[in-house]
This record gives sequence, structure tokens and C-alpha cells, in this order.
Amino acid sequence: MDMSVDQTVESTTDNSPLPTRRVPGDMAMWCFILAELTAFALMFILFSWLRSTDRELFLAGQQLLHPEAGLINTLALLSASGFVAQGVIANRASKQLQASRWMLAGLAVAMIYVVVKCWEYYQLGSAGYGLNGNRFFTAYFLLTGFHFLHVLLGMSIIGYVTRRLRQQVYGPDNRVGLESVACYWHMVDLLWIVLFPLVYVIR
Amino acid sequence: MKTISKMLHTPALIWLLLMIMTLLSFYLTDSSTLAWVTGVILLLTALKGHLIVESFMELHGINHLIRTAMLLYCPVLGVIIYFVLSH
Repeated sequence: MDMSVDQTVESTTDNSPLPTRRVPGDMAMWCFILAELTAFALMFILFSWLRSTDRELFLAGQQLLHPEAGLINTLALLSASGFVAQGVIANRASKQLQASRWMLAGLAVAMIYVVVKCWEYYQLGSAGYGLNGNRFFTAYFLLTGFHFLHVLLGMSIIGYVTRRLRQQVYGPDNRVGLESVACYWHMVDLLWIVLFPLVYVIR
Repeated sequence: MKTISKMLHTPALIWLLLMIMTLLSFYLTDSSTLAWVTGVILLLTALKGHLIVESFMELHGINHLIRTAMLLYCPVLGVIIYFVLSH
């Protein structure tokens, strides 16, 4: 069942209707995205509040992080999002093979995030900082870990749609699934651009 | 005008703008604890969120509640975070 959201047809001055535009993707996916954004918003606010109650502890914890790693991850996720957006456009232009290549490029760049994040966790773990370290590290691991799981889920479904693109399942007339996955991925990106300054940058 | 608007929403250009803003906010802070720097970083974050929602998510020009909610997400969250951090 196509649950895509049709948008009201706008009219021009001569009353001729413009082509109908709709919200990309599936309505169920948008409900999921809004729920996820709300959950993360609460976590960001909680992190900020914890930080405001013990500023010295959070600044000291922040000094032990690797901001360059966070920067690389930001650039990787933004690039992956750009590739995925290109993939959606290529699919709409009936270029499924090209679209699958864009998606693969997105996956490859997203892999950089996974490697860097694992390296960061390993570094902190080796230095003796874990989930039970202190309030900063509990918040840090919970927040970034939850986001990391979303990245892994996003990569899995991008891998799935890439395979389906190669099988010519998607096309200009059947693109809701692909757009839903793309929107999910952009949400993961959106969350990271809030998480990155909050955890790594703001002092 | 339509061509310019279309060009402004190409993923490659949006990607470039996002990269520049990310690097700017990263190097802007560089150990500074000033409140206005935090404000500028959160403002840049809101702008980046706007670009992602409008261009990557392709919600530009669509009149729907989802677009409104998505566009408000980063600015509202930024204001709340700024308020919480500065009190």
C-alpha cells in the first residue's frame, strides 16, 4: 500500500494546476523519523542539563575525546548523505545502475564513520573510560552509542536498497521505498550535526 | 529565478556548503568558552539542519506539517540547548 503523502495541488494565476508534489517517502517512515528525533531531542537536552550541573567534569571529559575524529565523522556522514541524495535523483531519472553506485559510495563513506567511531571507543576503553566511568562518560557512551546503532541500521537498509536497485526493482514510478530509506539516512545525519557540536565542540 | 533556485538545491552544492560550515564551526570554537561562540556554533548547526531538510530530504517547496516540524527541529533544539547551557 502506498502511504506516501500527497500534497495539495497549488494553482497558478490562470488556475491551471502545477504538477503535484508530495512529501518524499512513506508516511510510516516519517512517523518513525519524528519519534526518533523526539527521543534524541530529549537526550540532547538531558546531556546539556547534566553538563550545566557539573561543567568542570564535562569539560575534563571533553578534553579526553578526539575532536578531529568527530570532525572526520561529521564530514563522512555529510558526504554519505550527499551520495544518497544523488542516488535518489539518479533513480528518478531512470538510472538505476548509477543510483546503486551512488548508494555504494554512500556506504563506503559511512564505513569511515564506523571505523573511526570504533577506534574512538577502543581508545577510551583502553584508557579505562567506560560506561560506568563518570556522568560524562555514561552520557557520552549512551548518546553516541545510540546514534551509532542508528548508523548501522541505516547502512544495513542502504545495502538492501542498493541490491534492489541493481535488480531494477526501483524506478521513477516506484521510488517510495528508496526515498524512505534516504530520508532515514538524512535523519541520522541531522542528529549527528547536533550531537557533534554538543559533545565535541562547545566548551 | 527558478534555475537559480534549482541550482541552489543540487546535492553537490549543498554538500560543499555543509562542509564549509562544519569546518568553520570546528575551527571557530578552538578552546573558546565564550557564550557568543556557542551561539554562533548553534546558529551554524541550525543552518546546516535547514539545508539537510530542504535539499537532501527534498522537502523544499512542500506545504506540509512534516516539513514545518523538520525545519523547526534544529533551531528550537539549538535555542533550548543554549538556554540550558547558559543557566
